[in-house]
Order: sequence, then structure tokens, then C-alpha cells
Amino acid sequence: MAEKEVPIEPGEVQEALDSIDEMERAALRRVIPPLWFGGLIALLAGVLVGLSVAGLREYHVHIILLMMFVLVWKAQDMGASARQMPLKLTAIALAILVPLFFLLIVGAQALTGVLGAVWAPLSAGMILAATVFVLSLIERRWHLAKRGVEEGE
Amino acid sequence: MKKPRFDTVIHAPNRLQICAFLAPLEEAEFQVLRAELDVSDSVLSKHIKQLEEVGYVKQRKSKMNGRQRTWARLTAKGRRAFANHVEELRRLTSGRVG
Repeated sequence: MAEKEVPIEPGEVQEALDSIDEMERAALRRVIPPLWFGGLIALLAGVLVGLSVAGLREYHVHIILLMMFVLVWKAQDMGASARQMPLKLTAIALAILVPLFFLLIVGAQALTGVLGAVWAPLSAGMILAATVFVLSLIERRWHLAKRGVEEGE
Repeated sequence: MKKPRFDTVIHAPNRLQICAFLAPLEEAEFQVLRAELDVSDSVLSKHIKQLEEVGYVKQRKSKMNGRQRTWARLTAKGRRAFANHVEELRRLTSGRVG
């Protein structure tokens, strides 16, 4: 059997706990994506809204495929994938993003007459991109703080 | 519920590190593990095989850009055993040794 009941040296126990802590932090450093990655996803999300407002929906599939490719490529490139999804944060992010996505499309389409055919999609895209980027920063900081991992460590 | 239980298979330093690295992850690539543990391929293979034999770790192979990659993950049994082992270590440090 793998279990034993004989206690080991206290020093060895502490050493083992320190080693566990160090490896868990190393694992999390591996899976927290860099800042530019959040920026790239934000940019693609912004382009998606911009295209919708501009009525260029035929390009949606290209952007969605590109997003999927970037996500898969990053997971492969990191050589590790995170297990725990912060459910509460994800739910909050979705509660903000989904209504905002449709609100921006409808709002910007309605304001095309005022803002113009170029500025309406551009403004909507920029608002969504900025929101996605801010949310990615919040999630990143939450992960770093929760596990006590220093930025740039 | 965690039941503190010392596990000699997990407690060996390299295997403890492997389990600790895999615990917060879904899976990790063999080369990433090797780099983090700073051990040779053969040493890592040996330890992963030992963990695999007791059902704590599972491996899968994937191919990307023509290169074969091996991924390792903790099984449910492995996660339980690791959590129980950590719990036992904490119990020992807190001085509540029966």
C-alpha cells in the first residue's frame, strides 16, 4: 500500500510543503497568459462588433475562427492548461459582455446617421475592445493575487 | 472530504513536485514538467510511470506541427491522494500528530 503511518522529520515535512507551494506557483505562472494576449482577444472582439455594426457579417466567421486559432495556439504554446475557471468572475464578465455586445450593435446602428458610417462601427468596436481588455486585466490580477504570484515573476 | 493520509508514492521529492505542479492544472506537457523539475527525460519518465502504475497520473500523446508531444494529468484518484497527502503534511506541521 502507498500509505504509511510513521511520522517523518518535521524539517522534511516543512520542506515538502514549501516544495509543493513553489511548484503550484510555477504551474500558475505558466498558465496566466501575458498582457498582450488579453489585448489581442479584446481587439478581435472589437473587430467583431465593428463588422456587425458596419453590416459586414460575412466576415464574422473569419474573426471567430481566428479567435479560436489564437486560443488553441496559446494553450499549446504554454504547454499547460489551467484547471480551475473562476466561475464567479466568468459569470460577471459574461453578464457584462453579452448585453453590451448587442447593445453596442443596436445602439451604433441607430446612431450611424449621427456618427457616420465609419465612426459608428469604430466607436462600438473600441468600446467593446476596451471593456474586454479591462476585464482581462481584472481576471489576471485576481489570479495573481489569489495565488500570491508576483507580476513578472 | 480530505482524509489526511501519508502517501509514500507521492512523497518522493520528484513525484511530489510532479503532483504539486499538475494539481492546479488540467494537464501539462512533458517538456514543461521536465523544465520545471530540472531533471532528465529518463528521470521524469521513471517517476511519471510510477505515478501512472498506481493510477495517479494519466498520459496522452498529441501531434502538433509534426512533433509528438506528451501530456500528463492527475487522475481523480491522484488528486484525492495528493490532497490527502498535503493534508497529512499540514497535520504533521501543526503538531497534531496522534
